[in-house]
This record gives sequence, C-alpha cells and structure tokens, in this order.
Amino acid sequence: MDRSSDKKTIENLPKSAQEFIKLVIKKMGYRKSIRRDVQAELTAHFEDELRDCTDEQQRQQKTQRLIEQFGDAKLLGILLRRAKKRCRPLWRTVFVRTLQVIGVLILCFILYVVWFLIGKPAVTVDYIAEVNQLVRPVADESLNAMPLFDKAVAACPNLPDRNAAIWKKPYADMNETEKETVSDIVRRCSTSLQLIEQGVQKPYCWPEYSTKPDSDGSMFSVLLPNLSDFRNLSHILCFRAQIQVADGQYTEVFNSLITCYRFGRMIKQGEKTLVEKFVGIAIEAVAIGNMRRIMQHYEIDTPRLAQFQQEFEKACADEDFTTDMTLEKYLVYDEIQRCFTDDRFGGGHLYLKRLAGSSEVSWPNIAETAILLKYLLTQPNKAQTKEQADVLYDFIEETSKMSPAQLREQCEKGIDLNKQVESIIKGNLFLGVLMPAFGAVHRIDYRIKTDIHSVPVIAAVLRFKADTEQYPQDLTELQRAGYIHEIPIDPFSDKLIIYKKTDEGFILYSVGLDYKDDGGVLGTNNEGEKWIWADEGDAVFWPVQK
Amino acid sequence: MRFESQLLKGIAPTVVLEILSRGEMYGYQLSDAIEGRSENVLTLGKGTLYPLLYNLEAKKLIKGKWKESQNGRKRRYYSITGKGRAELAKQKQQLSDLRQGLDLVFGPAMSPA
Repeated sequence: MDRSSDKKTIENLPKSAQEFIKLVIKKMGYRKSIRRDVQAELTAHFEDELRDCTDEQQRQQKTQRLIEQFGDAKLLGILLRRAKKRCRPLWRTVFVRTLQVIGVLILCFILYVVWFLIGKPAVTVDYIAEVNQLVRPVADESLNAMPLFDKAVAACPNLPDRNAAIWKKPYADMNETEKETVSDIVRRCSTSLQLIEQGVQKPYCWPEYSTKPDSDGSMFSVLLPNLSDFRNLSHILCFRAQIQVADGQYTEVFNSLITCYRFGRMIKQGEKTLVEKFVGIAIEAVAIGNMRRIMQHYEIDTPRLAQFQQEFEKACADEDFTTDMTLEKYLVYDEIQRCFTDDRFGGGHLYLKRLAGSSEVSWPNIAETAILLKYLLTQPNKAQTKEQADVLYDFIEETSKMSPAQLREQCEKGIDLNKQVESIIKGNLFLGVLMPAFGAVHRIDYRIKTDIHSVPVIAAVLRFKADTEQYPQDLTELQRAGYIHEIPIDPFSDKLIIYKKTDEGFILYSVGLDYKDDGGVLGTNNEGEKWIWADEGDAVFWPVQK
Repeated sequence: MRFESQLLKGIAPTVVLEILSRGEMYGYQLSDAIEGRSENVLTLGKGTLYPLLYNLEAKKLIKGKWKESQNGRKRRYYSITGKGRAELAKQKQQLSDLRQGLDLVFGPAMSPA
C-alpha cells in the first residue's frame, strides 16, 4: 500500500475514527509494513461504513457505533498482532528467533565482559609481612647473622663492579698488578670479613623483607640489595685464603674457606627466596672450588688436613639440600591476589591491567583484544589457580626429595616431570609464567650437595696417602681405615661416588648431568671449555681442572 | 435474534469460509454478507473479524490480496484456498452431524421451551 495515499485516506475519516485506528495500530506494535496494511484495511472498513452518510451528524453517529462494535482498541491491537504473527512464514520465524537468540547471546556476552572488566583485584593480605613472620625464628635479634652481613657490605664500599675481571679470575692466574689490586681490596675489607666471621658463628640468619616506598608492595618488588655484594665478599674471603696460602698460613686459609662456605649456607638455608638460594649456592660453590684447588696445589700437612676435614664435616653436617618452595608459593599467592579480580566483581578472573604490566592499558587492535579476551575468559579463575598452585608446590616439594637419578628413572619409565606439572596446571598461563624451572633448580641443589660431599673425601684420600704413602684401593678401604665416616652417594646415579686409583694418583667424580659414567672425562660448556657440570661428561672433582 | 457470541465464535471460521467459497470479498463486504445472509442472526463482532481473517490466512485457508474495488478504491480481498475448501467441507460435515445429533435429542421441531 502507498503510504501517502494511506495518510490522505485516514485524514478523510472523522477524528474519533482516526484516533481509534491509530490507537489500535499503536497497541499492535508490530512491523511497520504490517501495521500499515492493517491500518489501511481498518480505514477502508470505516470508509465503507460511512460511505452513504448524508450529513456530519450521521457520520459521527455511525463512527461511534462502529468503534463500539470494534471494541477495546488495546485488545484489538493485541489480537491483530497475534494473528499477523501467525501469518509469518516458517523461515521468517526461524530467522527472527535465531536473530533474537544471537542478540540475547551477544547481550549476555557484552554484559559478561563488562561485568568481567569492571572487576579489580583486592589486595587483602600483606604477604611480605606474613613472610617476615614466617622466616623469623623464635629467637632474639642478637642471634641473627643477617644484620652483621649487611654491616659487612656497608663496611666495604666502592668494590669493583660485579662484572669486573678480578671476580672471574682465579687468584693464581692473576698478574702482579691484579694481585696488588686484590690485596688492596682484602685489606680494605678486613672489617667486613671480620663481620662475616662473626656472623657465621650465629645460629640463625633471617632477612627482613621490604619494598621501596613507591613500589606496589608486591613480593615481586621485594628488595634484596646486598645479594650481589655478598657474592663479592665471598670472593674476597677466598682471595684472602689465596694470599694466606702463599704465606703458608694453612689454618687461616681453611678458616677463611670454611667461613665462606658457612656464609653461603646461611644465605640460602631455611625459607628463602630462590634468588637468595642461588646466591647462597654460588657462594658455597666458590668456597668448595677454592678448597679443592688449594688441596691440589699445596702440600698441606696431615694434621692440618685432618683438622680441616673435621671442621668442614662439622660445618656441612645436616645441611638440607631439598628444595624449599615456601616463599615461592607465597610469591604466587601474592600475585594471584594482584592478577585476579576480586571474587565479588569480575568473577575472580585474570586482571588485564596487571597482566599487561602497566596501569595504562592500550587496546591496539581487535585481533589482539580478542586474543586477550580469549585468555581472560578461558583461563582458570582465582580459586582454581590457587588450588592448582597448592597442588603444584606440594608436588614440587615431594619431587625435590627424589634424587636426580630417581627422577631420571621415572622419566625412563615414561613418567615425565614436565608432563606431570602440565597435568597439574592444565594450561594455566599464569602458573606457567610464574612457575620456576623446577628441574633446573632441583639439579642445582643436588650439584652443590655432590660438590660439598666430595671435599671431605679428597681430604681423606690425601691424608691416607700422606700416612701410608699410597692411595687407597677404593673408598671402602678409606672408610675401613677410619678416614671417612661414610662414602657419599652420587645423587646422579644413586650409587657410590666414583673413586679410581690412577698412575698419577686418583680420580674422584660423579656421573654428572648425563647420568652415565664416562670414565671420569669432563664435558664442555657452550664455549667449548671443559666444565665440571657440563650437560655431558662426568663431574670430576679430582684432579681439579683448570 | 442475535446468536450467542461464544457459540458463534466456534462456527465463525466455517461461516467465513462458506461465504468466501462463493466469491472473494474484502472485510467490510464479508461482515455485511454474514449479517445479510443470516438475516442478522449471525453477527460477527468487528473486533473479531480481522483477527479471524488473519488467523485463517496464517493457516493458509484463505489468502488476502490488495486490489482495486468497483468504486476505484483499494481493498484487501480475501479468497478461499484449496486447503480452505477442504477444511470447509470437513467442518460442514461436522456441523451436519451435530445438527443430526441435536435433532435426535430435541426432535425435529426444535423450539424453545
């Protein structure tokens, strides 16, 4: 029907008829074209009814009667709409219903996204305070070595940069100028070294974790300012030992090295962050390396060697080499409360701003946004992530009790560590990012354990040789003769550490990171240099390789 | 006599189909025809007429088409479809059966008591 002619026709009707028809059409509330049709039809009906009227009064009377016959405009509108809806072809009904469903789904999705995006994390737990409470034993502050270590750093300012050549070179390989520099550093740091010596006599070592005032207060922003200097001081202790050894002061030499070892052990022992543990292990490794080098290059008399062995065995007794992940777990808990929205708003999902690593999030393009949304909407929520983190860290702690050889055996049976971890975190992006390389951490723990246990054996063999003028046939002979209490187990084979008598003396080694006995041959690192803990070859403790 | 509206509602579709089976008509004509042919016994409320037509159209028993009437104005003419004729035949048969039944109950000379 033509719209303009419709308009003209309805305007020819009495006003009451016009109003009635318009009201019916309004109440009908359906598609425009349909309403236009119905309006035209109703108008035609009124027109036909009034066709024969001779005067205005009659028109008005007839109009009124017809309106009464039509009845309630609202009811008529509803009946017309229902009837017209039934006239729709099936495809159209299906199409409209599909569009409606899609519309509702889109609306729900938009509402969900909005609900999701308005959520913000709520930092409700001060994990740094909790950690400080956790790491502090029930002991007086005077029993804590850490303040002395911190003072030691403060007492030795202006040390060469951590990347300076002197930290990387063995003392014996230095030229005279370098040796003079080192001697000067040792002199300048004598107070620091004394403080460390005092510190290692303390029974405890706990830090007070804190953050910069302008930081977000997360565990990620915890300051560990002195760790690098601790490493430098451990080198200075070893330099002092190297200077002392040249003067034949063997007692002082071993005291310096045992102090260095204890220093490292105190830095890493107990519930510490992974960074502290690695620094502690590095310091221990520096001490062990120097102990072995000095025993190789200097003729040390048996009583001093025996004393050193005894003191070192005492110093390393009961050292726990299992991986403690308590603080790492707290770090993950802290990040969970910062990276997930609060449960009340946003449903505890990943928080975009924190993930993006800045407070200013740009929305570069639709594709990237869609990818982000996909992750945000499909990743495990806050509660699920915390649950997975608990299971994961329990698993790591349990697994860390197994030796590398046991893990290797499991792997050969098809029980792969990585797959086990993956089955726990089930593709959780957040945990995947934050999870430490547990396999590497585990190997480092057992590497230093093997390194440490090699030292008393070497001292014992050298003592045996000095006493009997021959090397023991095997370590059992050494044990029977009372030089060692027990023969160390190589955690990379779960067998005894390997000792062999050679024409030049003896060889002592672990099968190393390739888990197989290569006959005491060292592997090489990425630069092609012989390396004690290379991926291939054995970890040879004696003879010491340059 | 006016037919009881509830009773008429039941047979209204059949009445409309019957009228349209004799030729196409538009709404006003149809309303007029029902009243005229039934001598005002059957009066279809105007408020019922158009919803009824649209419902019959939805069931494809009739179909509507805009056409120019004799006086040159556009009207929506309704005509019965094949399906509508079949339905009409069925309804007529049912009415016939109903009438027979009523005759048996009330007697051939059915009159108010």
